[in-house]
Amino acid sequence: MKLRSLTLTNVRKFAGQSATISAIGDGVSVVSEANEFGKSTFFDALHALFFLKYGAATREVKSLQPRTGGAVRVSAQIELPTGKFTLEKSFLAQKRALVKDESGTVVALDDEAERWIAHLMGSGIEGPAGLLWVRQGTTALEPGGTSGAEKTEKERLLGARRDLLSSVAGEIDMVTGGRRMDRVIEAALQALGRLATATGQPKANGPWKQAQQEAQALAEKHTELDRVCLELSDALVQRREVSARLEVLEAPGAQEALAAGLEAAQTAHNAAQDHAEKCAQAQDQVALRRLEMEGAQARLDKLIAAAEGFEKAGEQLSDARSAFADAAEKGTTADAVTDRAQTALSEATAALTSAQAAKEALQHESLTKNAVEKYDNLKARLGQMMQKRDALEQANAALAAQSVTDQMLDRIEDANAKLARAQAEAAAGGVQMYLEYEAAEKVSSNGKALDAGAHRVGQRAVFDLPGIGRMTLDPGDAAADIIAVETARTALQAALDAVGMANVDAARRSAALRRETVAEIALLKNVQETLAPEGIEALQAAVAQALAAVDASSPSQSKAPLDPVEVAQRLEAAQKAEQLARVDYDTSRDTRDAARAALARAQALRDAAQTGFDLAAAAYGDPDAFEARKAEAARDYALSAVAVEDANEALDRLQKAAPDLANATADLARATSAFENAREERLRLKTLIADLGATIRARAEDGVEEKREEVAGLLQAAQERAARFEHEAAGLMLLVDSLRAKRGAAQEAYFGPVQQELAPLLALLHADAALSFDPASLLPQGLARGGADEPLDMLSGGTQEQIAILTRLAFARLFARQGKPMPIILDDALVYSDDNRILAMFTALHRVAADQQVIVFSCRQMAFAGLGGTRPVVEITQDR
Amino acid sequence: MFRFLHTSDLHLGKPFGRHSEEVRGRLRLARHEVLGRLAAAARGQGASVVLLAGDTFDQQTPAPQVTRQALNAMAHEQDITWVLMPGNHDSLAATELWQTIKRDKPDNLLLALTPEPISVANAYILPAPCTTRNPGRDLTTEMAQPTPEGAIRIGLGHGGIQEFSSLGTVAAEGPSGIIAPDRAAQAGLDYLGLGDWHGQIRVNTNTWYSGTPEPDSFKHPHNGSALIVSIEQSGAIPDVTPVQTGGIRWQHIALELTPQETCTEILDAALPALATRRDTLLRVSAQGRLGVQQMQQLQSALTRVAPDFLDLSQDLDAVLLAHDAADLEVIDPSGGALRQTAEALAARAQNSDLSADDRRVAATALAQLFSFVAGADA
Repeated sequence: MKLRSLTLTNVRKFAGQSATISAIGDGVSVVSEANEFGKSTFFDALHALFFLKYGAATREVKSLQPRTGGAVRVSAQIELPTGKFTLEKSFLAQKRALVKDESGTVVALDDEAERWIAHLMGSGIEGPAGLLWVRQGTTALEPGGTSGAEKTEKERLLGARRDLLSSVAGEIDMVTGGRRMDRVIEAALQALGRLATATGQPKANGPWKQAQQEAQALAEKHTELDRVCLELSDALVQRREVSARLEVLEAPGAQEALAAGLEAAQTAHNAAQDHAEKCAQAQDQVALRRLEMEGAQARLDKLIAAAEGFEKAGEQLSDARSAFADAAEKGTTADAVTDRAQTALSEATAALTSAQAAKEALQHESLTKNAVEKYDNLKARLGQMMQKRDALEQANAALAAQSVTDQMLDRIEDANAKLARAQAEAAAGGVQMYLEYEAAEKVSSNGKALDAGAHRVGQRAVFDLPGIGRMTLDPGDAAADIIAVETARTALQAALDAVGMANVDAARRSAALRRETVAEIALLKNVQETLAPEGIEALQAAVAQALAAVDASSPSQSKAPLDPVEVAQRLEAAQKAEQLARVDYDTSRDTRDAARAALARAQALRDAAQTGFDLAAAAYGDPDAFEARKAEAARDYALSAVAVEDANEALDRLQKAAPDLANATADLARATSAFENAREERLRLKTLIADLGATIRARAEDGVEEKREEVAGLLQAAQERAARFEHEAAGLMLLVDSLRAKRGAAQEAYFGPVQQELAPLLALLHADAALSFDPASLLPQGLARGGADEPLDMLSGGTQEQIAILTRLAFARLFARQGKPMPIILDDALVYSDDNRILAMFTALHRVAADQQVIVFSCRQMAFAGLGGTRPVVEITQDR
Repeated sequence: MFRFLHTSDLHLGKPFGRHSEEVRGRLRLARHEVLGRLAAAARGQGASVVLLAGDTFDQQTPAPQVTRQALNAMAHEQDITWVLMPGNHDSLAATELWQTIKRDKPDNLLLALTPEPISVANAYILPAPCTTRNPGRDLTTEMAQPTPEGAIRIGLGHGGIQEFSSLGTVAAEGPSGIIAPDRAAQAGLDYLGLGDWHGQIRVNTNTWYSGTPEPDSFKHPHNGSALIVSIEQSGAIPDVTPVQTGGIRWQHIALELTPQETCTEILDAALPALATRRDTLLRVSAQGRLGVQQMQQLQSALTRVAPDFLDLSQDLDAVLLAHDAADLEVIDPSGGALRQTAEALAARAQNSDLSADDRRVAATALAQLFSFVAGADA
């Protein structure tokens, strides 16, 4: 359908007027007028013509009536593929609806006309056409509020969208399964939720998990029972084997055989042992005979040796005696020599002693002299020391009396200097008076005659002028400072008094004297230090010691004075002689000692030789009986040798016939161990059988084999149950996934047509963007661009506005594809779009307008200048 | 004439752990009560001797009450002489068990613990007791021992014969043993009674496996029976008559299903009579092809009849799910996502490129889908 003109009569501001928009062309038509022109009135009137019943008296209809009342008439010329038609409706008064064809023939009237119009619009306002009208201020695709009217409007628009999309893609419920699908998915999820978690694992406390846990517990129990049964089985097998073994061991002949074997081994061993003893005895015999033979031989050898020894001992004795005689002779000679040497030594010693005595006397004299000298020296020093001490005491006493120290003298000198200065100053002060006498009388002052010459008058003074009177002389300002002088004098005097001096000279002398005294004291101390470094007491002690040493030294015994040289010479000679005599004596003594030692050795040898000879003689015995004895010994030896041979032969015979004792012993050990082992083995086996029997009984009473089989059965059943649950869960998961996948695909297919129309329009604003649709509301819900999916309500108002209009344009395209192109009416749309976007939207409008009308009402003449399009003619005429 | 009852493999004390507590209790009770039924069967046929050819007890060390109650049951049947021989489960290696039995056995119980002939009435029993779980040799060779002239010779053995599989399709599943199948002829036996195989099988004219008197699995297609053997005289051909002794039935129904048939009708036709269901363990296995709804119907039917039975187990894994347009119409007539899901799952269930397990999961998912859709529409 295309709209060609629209005429309003007596509508709102056009009371009593007719307002016509004509020459509405194909494509984009723009009615761009200022505010208050009545654009919305045209929109509302057109809306009422298409969507409101002519008999309606709704608020919307009444809103079209001007204040002056009267009928509200709206007519439009439309163009259909079947021709041109005029639609007219009169509301509120003279209510009428009619459809006229191009020739003016009424095609439908009133209700018929309503049906005709509704069919045209596709079920009216509830139909899809309602989607394409964008009222001013309602840029969103559906109202956002929650009022009853808004909810109704939402429902209506949802229905319109559903109708539109269903007309293209089929009913969404049919395509996607709708609520039936939801119920099925929900039921599947519920069933799955009872069994499994979101990740497909058995759900805690769910039947699958419980079956698994039961199977696990049974498996563990079965494993344990299996172990016990194996233990039981092993015990049974082992008991059987052990019993068989015991049976063998306890077989009637078994033990007897072992015992017989043991006895036989014992007998053989005993026999072997007896024979061995005999052999040992035979060996003892051999040894005994050998000893006898050795004894006989020894005796024979002894006799032979005795004879030889006797002869030899005689020779030795003779030799020893000779040696002894020689040694004795030598000893005698050595004794004589020694005696002579001793005599000479004695003499030389006596001479030496005498010389030494002389020397000692000489030394004694010297020592005594030294002691005296020392004593004298010390005594002198002590005397000096005493003197110095006295002098020092005197000096100290003098010093004590000399009170004027250098410091004191300095003070006195200082005071004296001050006095001199004061006096000088005083002298300098005052006046100078010169006296020259021509008479004998003299001037006096204070009774003291003054000599001629200059006299300083420092202070006011009165002079007696004999014969004249008195003269008072007052220096005035030039008066000497007598006070200062007096002060200085007082100070000086005080200083002198402090030291007890009369005057300065005396103080000087006293100070000088003191200094001398101090120097003397220092000198005395030095001397004392030199004389007695240790102190006077030490010196006194040394003197006492020296005196004692002198007293101790006795005077020389020699009456005649000794010549030291002679004494020395004599001593030297005596020493030499004594040394020579000593050497001789020592030599002779050594010789004598050697001779004596040799004699002693010779004597020892002789005694030993004598003893040896005596022993040899004793051993030899009677010479006449010696040969007989020797013959007898030889005979005994021969006999014993024969006995040894016999014994060896007997031993040899026995040894050859001897059984193997080692083998017999080993055999006995074997038989014994076999016998003992068998007994121990029987005991061990019986014990083992008893233990195994206890184990078997315990297990048998528990019925473990039955329990194991029972648990095996339960385990299998539990495993099968768990497997069934697992299979059931797998089926449910597959079912849910499949349902969701198919539903998603169906939804995509459902929105495919509108997406297909929307894509190129959306690309004008957002490259590589796509809209996702909500299957419930059938509205765009998100914009995917740049890899991000943005919910629509998070986008800017301008973008939402643009998407809403583009969506309507896509819907319009769907209509067009169905062969029902409908005009798109926009009343002041794109209010939030910026300049760039608005141009893109204009392009979108033109794109859509390629095959369907787009009628735009706008008051934004400047902004919409870029839209282009045609400008319909607007006329307002007075209603006749 | 000597008449006796030949049985074996009672497996007293078998735990049946796979089953529920109730089922286990019933099975154990039936097993214990079979001694009384054996005695009754023998008595009913005029026999006073019951030969137990091994595996009377399931374990080497059964619980004391199992042994004691078995001995008490035998003792109670005072007019019956029981001859008890060790099998491989209760072999002579179970020394504790046989010591207890020796100690506590009643007077009417004879133990065949050695190959020595046992004189019973006018016959001699030549036993071949199992020495261990796997003796490894043919113990029946010792049956050739002499007995008094003219005496009826009855061998009693336990184990598999050579070429066991030649005995039939069921026996084909059994392992071949080492007992000579002509042992009776070789040893001059009038009858050789064997145990070990739980199914009743005639080896030859005078050699039989009695089978177990109380079934313990679905393996053997019988309800538990023993053999009444009558031998006129030495050298005569024995007359062998099976007698029912079982208390609990183990029945396996194998269904062959096609989509063209009504599976529930097939099932109903195969189910045992109502009166017997309480004492029946039923196993239903199926193979073939079924539509999804048919499968649901079958499962619903099984669920419906399950309480009739002592226990009902099913194995429908071998049934291929075949879906058609009608099935899919139920899911989603519009061809929307639900239907597409069903088609995808069906295709996956048939995809031979996937593992069997994956195909089964897909089939299960498809069945779940149908179930949930039904629930959603409810």
